[in-house]
Amino acid sequence: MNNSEFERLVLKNEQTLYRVSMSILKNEADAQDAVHDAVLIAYTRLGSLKKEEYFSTWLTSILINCCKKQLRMKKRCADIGEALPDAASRDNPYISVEIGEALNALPEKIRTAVILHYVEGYPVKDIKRILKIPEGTVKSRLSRGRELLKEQFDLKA
Amino acid sequence: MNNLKSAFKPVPERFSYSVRESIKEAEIKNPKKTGSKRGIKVLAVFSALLIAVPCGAFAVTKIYSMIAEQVGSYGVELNVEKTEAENSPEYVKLKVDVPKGFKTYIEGIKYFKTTKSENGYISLWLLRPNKNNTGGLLTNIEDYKQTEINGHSAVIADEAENPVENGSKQINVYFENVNIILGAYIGSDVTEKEAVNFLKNVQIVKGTKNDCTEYNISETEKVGEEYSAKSLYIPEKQNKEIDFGKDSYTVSLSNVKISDNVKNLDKRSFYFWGQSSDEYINSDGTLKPREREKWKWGDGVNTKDEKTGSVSVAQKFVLVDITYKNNTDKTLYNQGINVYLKAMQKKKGVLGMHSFYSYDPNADDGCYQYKKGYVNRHKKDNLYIFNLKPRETKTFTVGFRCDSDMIDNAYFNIDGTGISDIKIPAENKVLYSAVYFSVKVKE
Repeated sequence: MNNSEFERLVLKNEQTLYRVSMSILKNEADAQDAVHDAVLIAYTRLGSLKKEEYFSTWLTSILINCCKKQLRMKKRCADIGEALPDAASRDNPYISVEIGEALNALPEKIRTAVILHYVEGYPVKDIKRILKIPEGTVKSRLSRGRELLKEQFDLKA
Repeated sequence: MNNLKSAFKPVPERFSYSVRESIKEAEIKNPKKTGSKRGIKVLAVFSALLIAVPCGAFAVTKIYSMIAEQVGSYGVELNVEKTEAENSPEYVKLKVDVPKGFKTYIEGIKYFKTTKSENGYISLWLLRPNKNNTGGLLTNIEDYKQTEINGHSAVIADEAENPVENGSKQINVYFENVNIILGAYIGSDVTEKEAVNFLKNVQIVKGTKNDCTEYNISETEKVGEEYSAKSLYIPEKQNKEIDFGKDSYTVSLSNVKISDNVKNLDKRSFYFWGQSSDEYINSDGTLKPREREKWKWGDGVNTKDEKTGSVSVAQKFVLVDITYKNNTDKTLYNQGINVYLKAMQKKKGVLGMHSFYSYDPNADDGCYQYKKGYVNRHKKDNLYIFNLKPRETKTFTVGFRCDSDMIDNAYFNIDGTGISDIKIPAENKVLYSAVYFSVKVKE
């Protein structure tokens, strides 16, 4: 894969990179850092990508690991007294405040699975590969996500 | 759920700019080599292979993976994707082709860099995922990544600072052919590249009951639990001899001496892991005090161990003779001197034999230094590997530095781990062939 091909594929997945990283990190600065790290890692590991058709799931998998690393680093800082930043308006990726609040209220692992399936459109078998969890776990997280979202919307109604 | 997709804003231009800049940075930092000639040569080789190999050889074989999942802040759970019943033999054999730069300490168990660094070790163990395909929980992990080693899925985990050693790693490799996870503790003086290169030389294959196998792996309900329950044995009556069976050796302890001064010992037999004896011994033969660190124990999942201070402790030197008698008519190769000095104390409220470097009286946790500082009959270092000829007996004098305030609570420990040629009966359900035998230093 040459450089222009790599650039084309990354930009093709830009919306996914934005939505997935923002849904996990809830902060645009951290999301940019995670995407930056993921792009660098992906470029250096291009040799391990078996087929171009898997690029999207592969890049998303790398991004999610980078986001988790960011979360761990943030948690360490919070433990020694540094306050986590408040979400400013530019850190809100949602048009609908209602849906945004409902998604943010989901536990992180469930939220990630929900975003990957219902927003990004990945089938269960792709999510299994991205998150490196069994298929049954993907389905149970999606099922739980639907229940929790339904509860929230029922409450608001 | 259909509304979710339209709930997101378009990508902001500043974010898009950041992505493009990241791509440029990746390309600048990692320039690709171009060369059409090389490309053609590779293509030609591949085409030749296609012609030569029968089509049936390209049938895809399903490879099951080991997957790591974060638990809490410092825990990592290992799960395997799926296993096939026929891939879970009762007996397995571990083969290590020791690469250059390392040497065997205890065959199949522990290896050291030839630079003789105290922390230049690779320590191996095996375990089988349980019926729920769980391969165990790694604790006190600062960071981890999934990778592949020789086509086997692997997890490389960086350990958080702990009382025993700083900055070491754990690497777990899943051998799907036999449904076994190979675990490796990597000392901090071994680089990741060296460790991965070492593990590429490890094979685990199906064994048989009659093989000279170091491990007899049986399924257990909870990974690790049965091992820890059976690994500790304190006899009610102090018996200074342990017999590992007619296919192995008998080991016994005698002639215990506790001293404040080591000037009469053979200086060539001291070994403090590459450091000079002057670090530990004064010119008049008395022992320098040791800085004992104080640590507060975490649970390894949500909290990690934390150092809280240190205290200076006077030292004694403990000597003991250890005798090995070969019970067989064949040579026993690559035996290690398997006596250690530990203290009987509580860790997290549970009484047991421990050999850590920390002590926190408020936490009821204790610690003790256990590394040998003296081995006679060997003038180079105490990575002493010896062979026992048929029916031969050998005796070594082994010495340990000892915290003077722990001497009343100290035990010699005989470690059965890694004794080669030991055979475990099929009905034995112990996960790991480890036997600990303890003898009090001061009777």
